[in-house]
Amino acid sequence: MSLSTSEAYGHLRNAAWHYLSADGDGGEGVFLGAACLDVEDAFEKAAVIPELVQDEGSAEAAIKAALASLEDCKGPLVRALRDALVELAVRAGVR
Amino acid sequence: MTATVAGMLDRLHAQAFAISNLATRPSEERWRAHAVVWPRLALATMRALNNVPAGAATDPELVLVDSILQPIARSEWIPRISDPPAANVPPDKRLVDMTRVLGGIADLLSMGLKDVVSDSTAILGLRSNLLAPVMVAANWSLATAPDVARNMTPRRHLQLVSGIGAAFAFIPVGLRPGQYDDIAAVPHSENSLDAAMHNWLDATKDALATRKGLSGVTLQTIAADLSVLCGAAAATTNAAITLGQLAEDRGRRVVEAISDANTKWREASRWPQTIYLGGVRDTGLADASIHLRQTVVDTLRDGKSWADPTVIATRMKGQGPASIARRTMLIAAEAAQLQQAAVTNVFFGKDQVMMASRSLEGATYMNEAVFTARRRGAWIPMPRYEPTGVEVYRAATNAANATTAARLLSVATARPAVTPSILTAVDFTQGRIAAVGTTTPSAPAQGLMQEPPFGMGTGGPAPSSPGPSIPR
Repeated sequence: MSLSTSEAYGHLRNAAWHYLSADGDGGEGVFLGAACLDVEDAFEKAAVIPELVQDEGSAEAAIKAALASLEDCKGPLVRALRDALVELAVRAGVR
Repeated sequence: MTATVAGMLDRLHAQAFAISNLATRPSEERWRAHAVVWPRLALATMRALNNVPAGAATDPELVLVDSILQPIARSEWIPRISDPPAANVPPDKRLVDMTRVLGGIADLLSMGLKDVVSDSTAILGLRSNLLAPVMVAANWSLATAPDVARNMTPRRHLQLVSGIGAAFAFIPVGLRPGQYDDIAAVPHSENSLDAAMHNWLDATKDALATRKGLSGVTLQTIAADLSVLCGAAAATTNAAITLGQLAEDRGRRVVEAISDANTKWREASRWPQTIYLGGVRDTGLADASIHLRQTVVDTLRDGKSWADPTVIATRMKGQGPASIARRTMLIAAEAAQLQQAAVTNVFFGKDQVMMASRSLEGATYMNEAVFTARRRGAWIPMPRYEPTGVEVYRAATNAANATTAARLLSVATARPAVTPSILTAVDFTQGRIAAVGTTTPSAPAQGLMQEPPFGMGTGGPAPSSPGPSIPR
C-alpha cells in the first residue's frame, strides 16, 4: 500500500482519538469512535501500516484529511477503504 | 424470550394465586389427579431449593424441608394398599404447570451467578418465594382430598408441606427480592439486548483467548464496547429510577458509579497515535460488536442522546430496566477483567506493541537501530515501562476497577431495601408469649378459599383484588 493510504490510516486514528475523548456529547462520541475502529479494521485487513501524521485538531477535520489522502490513490483495495471512510463521514455528518 | 428467575417466580405466584381463588370440594377423582403430580412437584421444589447457592455447609433449614419433601418425591407418602388399582386419571393441569415452572427455576438456579456470594437474606428470600406457592398447592390438594382413613397418611404429608411453606410465606415480600432473581436463560438467536450482550461476551472471550496474537484494534474495540455497555447500564438504571422501580437514593449512586466506569472505558479505548499494535480483529468479535452497538442504539438511544425512560421501558418489552442494568453490569465486569488482563499481557509481556520511533525520547533508549528508525520514521518495539504504554495500561486497570465497583453497587440494588430485624418485642397475652402484632391465623384450608395467600409475590406483578370464585 502507498504512503497515502498509511497517512489516511493515521488521520483515521486521530479521528478515533478525538471522538473517544469527547465529553458531554450524550454518549455519541463512543459510537462514532467505535465506528472509526471498524474502519481501522478495514485498513488492517488491507495490510496498511499507519503513518504518524499531523493532528488536524478535530475528528471531523481528521476524517476529511483521511479522505483527501485517499483522493489520488489507486489500487484494488483503495476503493473499499474509500467507501468505508465515506460511510463513516456520512454518519459523522462530515459529508 | 429471555427467561429470568424473577419472571418465572412471577408466573409461579400468579398460578398459585389463581389456585387460591378456586372453590374446591373434596373429590376422590380430583384428589387422584393431584396425588399423581405431587411426587414430581416435590422433586422440582427440592431441586430448586438445593440449587439456591448455600451460604453454609450444613443447613438445618434445608435439611428440614428436604425431610418433608423427600417421602413425597420418592412416592412413599401414599401407602400401598390392596384396593383394586384405580382407573387412569389425568394429572391435574394446574399442578403440572406449577411443577414445570419450578423445574425451570431449578434449571436456571443451577447456572448460579459468577462471583456472587450468598448471604442469608438472599437465601431466605428465594426459599420463601419458592415455598409460599407450594404451600398454596398443598392447601388446595388438602381441600381436595376426601377426609377418609386411607388418605390419612398423604394428608399428613401435605399438612407438613403446608406448615413449612406457611413458615416461609410469613417472610414479608419486601425482604424477598435478591440478586439470584437476575439469573437468566438467554436465547442467543433472539433480537434483544440480552442476546446481543451474551453473544458479544462469548465473542470477546474467544477473541481474547486467541493464540494468534491480539491487535490494538481488538483491545480498543472491546474497551469502546465496554463504554457502550456502561452507558446502557446507566441509561436503564436511570429509567428504573424515573419509573419508580428503584429508589432515588439507592439508584443515583449506582448511576454515578456506572457513569464513572463509562468515562474510564472511553479513556482506555483511545490509544495515542504514537502506539501501534497491528493485526485484524477476530471476525466474530467484529460482527458481535457491530450488532451490540446497533441493538443499544435501537433499544436505548434516541438520535444522538439516550432515550427517554418511558420510551426505554416501552422498547424493553416487559423486561425490567433495573434487572437489565444489573445483567449488563454483570457482563461488563466479566469482560472488563479479561480485557484488563489482556492489556497487561500486551504491555508487560513480550515486546508486541510498537511505538513511533520519532516519539521516543530520552538518551536511555538511543542506539544505532533507533537512530536509523527515527530517520526513516519507522515503528520500533516499545521499550517496557515506556510511559505512554504505562498510561494505556493504567487506563485499562482504572476502568476495570471502576466497573467492578459499579457492578457491586448495581447488584446491591437487587437486595431488599430494608434488612430483616431480630424479633425483640413480645406480648404476654393470656399467659402466653406472642410476637407483637401477630394475630391468630385462620386455618389454611379455609383461608385458601376466602382470601389471597399471604406474603406471596416477588415484587413483580401488582397485587390485584381476588376475583369471584372460579367454578371448576
